[in-house]
Amino acid sequence: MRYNTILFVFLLVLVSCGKDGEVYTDFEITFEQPANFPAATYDFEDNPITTDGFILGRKLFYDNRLSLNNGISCAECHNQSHAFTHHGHNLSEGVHAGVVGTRNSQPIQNLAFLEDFTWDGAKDELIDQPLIPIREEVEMDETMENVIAKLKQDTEYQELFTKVFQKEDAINQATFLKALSQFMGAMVSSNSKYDKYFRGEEGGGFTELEKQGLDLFKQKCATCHSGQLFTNQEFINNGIGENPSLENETGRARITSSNPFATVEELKKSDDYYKFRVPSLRNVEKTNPYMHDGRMLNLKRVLDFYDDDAYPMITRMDNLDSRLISTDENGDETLGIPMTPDEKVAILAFLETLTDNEFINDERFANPN
Amino acid sequence: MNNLKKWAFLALTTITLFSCNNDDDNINTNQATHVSAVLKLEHSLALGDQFTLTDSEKNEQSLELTVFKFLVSDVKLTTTNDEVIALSNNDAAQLVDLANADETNTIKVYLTDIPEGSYKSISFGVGVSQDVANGSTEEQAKLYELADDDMHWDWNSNLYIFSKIEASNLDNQNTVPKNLNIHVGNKGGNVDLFRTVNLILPETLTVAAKVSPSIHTIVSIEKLFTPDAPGVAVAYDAINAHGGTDDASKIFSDNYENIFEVHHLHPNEAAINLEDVEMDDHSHDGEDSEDSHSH
Ligand code: HEC
Ligand code: HEC
Repeated sequence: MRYNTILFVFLLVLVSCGKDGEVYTDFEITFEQPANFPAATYDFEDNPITTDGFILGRKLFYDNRLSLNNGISCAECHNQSHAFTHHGHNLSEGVHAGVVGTRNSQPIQNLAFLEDFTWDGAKDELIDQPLIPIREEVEMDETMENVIAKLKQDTEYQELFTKVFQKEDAINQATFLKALSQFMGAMVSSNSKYDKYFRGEEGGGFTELEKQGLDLFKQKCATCHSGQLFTNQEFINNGIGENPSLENETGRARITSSNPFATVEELKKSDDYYKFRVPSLRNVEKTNPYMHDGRMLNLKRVLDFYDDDAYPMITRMDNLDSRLISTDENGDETLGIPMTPDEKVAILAFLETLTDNEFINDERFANPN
Repeated sequence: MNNLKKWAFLALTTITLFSCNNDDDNINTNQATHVSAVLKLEHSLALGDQFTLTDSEKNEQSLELTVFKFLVSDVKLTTTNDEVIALSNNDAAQLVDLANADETNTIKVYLTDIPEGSYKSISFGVGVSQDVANGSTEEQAKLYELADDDMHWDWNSNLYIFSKIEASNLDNQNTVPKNLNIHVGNKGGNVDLFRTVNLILPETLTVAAKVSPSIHTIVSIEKLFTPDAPGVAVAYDAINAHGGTDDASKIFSDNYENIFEVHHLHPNEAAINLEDVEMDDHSHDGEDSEDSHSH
């Protein structure tokens, strides 16, 4: 009898202090630099990653209150089972049903190693990135002022922010951004079959086909998709060509123009027109559809695009990257990368070794609620 | 037995409620913040005023001012002993928006936490420096808020828009009249358009507990285009926001150093508290800020 009462009261405590008594928090987060990765760009001095900060950031990432009418969370378009992308959407639909944005959602992985963020490099610090989706009409269409006001009403957030930032009244835009950034910064994917092969670890046995694919990839693709992140992080016109239904797309040109009112016509003259960041190919098997506007549904189609004959073809803009052009002695140009059907099969097999199931199933990154 | 259980239940619930809600304790520590000094910015124009500017074809254009705002950061004061006191951006940063001006076109920037003493000059930045923008996130907490509404570009790494001036052309003969539309910031990243304004005070400013002295400053908006020497005149439609050259944007930004002039000090104004003036100012907010949105 006595025990029953105690149990009941104990449950009550849990309920009254926060609905989610079963939040998975039983772990320590420390940022681990994978042996085969480049140096991190994340600003650890400004915003060190702590377990409590990570847990707070994760709660925010999965919280619908970050959007208008509390409709969607970041995870809506960054879904763990698809390496934190928006599965089944070439262009991401936001808080307004049926209204889609102009870009394909990007994976939230290894962001601590990137120089620039988004397809065109709109931000060069991870910490500022969430301001874009929250304010964009086609994404979450909310104001930061409202988000902060909503969080302040929640005593659980008040406590968590105070715990993480060690001060009273800790909820503001700066601490909000820091928490999200700690969560995203800690999301490192470095345990694919390829990594294990590269580091000579158990589980890293490559088949002959995969080995052949890796060699072909190094010859044909690693000029741009280079290094352990499989991107040289440059902004490049890879011949993707204009998308007739997205007339305002100008790629990197909009970012590097010093004129905030530049028109699309003016930006077409820029050398950065239709340049996009070379994407990392980690978990690429899971992040379909592909390219900045998600126009290619599968990897087979991507390879058909890159080769020099099969449809879709490479578009020859003035600033098409020279690594995709070869000129013969008569001055005739061939666009693309010659690949036989067998070579494509091998490259595909290799690309699949970049899938990191430990990352995709890592409970620490999952929705805590 | 039954009664006892009820009591235990009640007592424990109460404890639970209290232990979850301990932040109420701090509410009454609301101390008054003494305003050390006030920077009074009296503008030469109000929103809706008409004025004349010369375009790049040397034609006079008649314009009506619709937006004038800028971010103030990095406020510093220099003592008569040449000691520089830098105020935190989380206190002193401000968005000066002509839409919030009073009947005399004046906007007051309240400065707190200046150490008591004698000062000979004050300086501030128009916009946000690269050091601050790339520096500590928490030291930008207030700047983030000031920029939140419409002083930021999402598609830019230095997110702050430093200043905005907009005016509509009253010419109704021309089908495409040249409007004035200049938003300054480190867009594109090749030229730094952050500028620091340094104002020498005509007499010593004494900061002390019993007063809140004010620095009455004239802001001559037209001088952005037609500054006093050594400033260089610039046509309002030559600036980058109109597809002009970066040089014109630089000259234009330089001219921010030219538009401020300290007229006089009110050295002995009675001491005021920040909390009181903030309450006052907010009561105007709703009615004033409406026409300040440009997009
Ligand atoms: C409506 C769908 C949607 C929502 C909601 C959304 N995103 Fe995104 N996210 C995208 C798209 C699309 C891109 C690519 C943006 C671009 O290139 O313009 C992106 C890109 C990013 C990137 C850049 C990744 C890289 O590799 O550079 C980060 C970081 C990010 N989002 C974080 C967030 C966070 C944090 C939230 C919640 C506050 C969020 N996103 C909410 C769709 C969304
Ligand atoms: C000249 C540089 C360059 C070369 C060479 C190159 N790529 Fe790319 N790749 C890019 C760029 C830039 C993009 C992004 C374009 C866009 O989004 O419009 C891209 C996109 C992709 C994507 C889409 C990824 C995603 O997340 O949407 C895949 C897959 C890909 N490349 C695979 C390859 C393969 C395989 C090869 C070799 C056969 C290759 N690339 C060669 C520059 C290159």
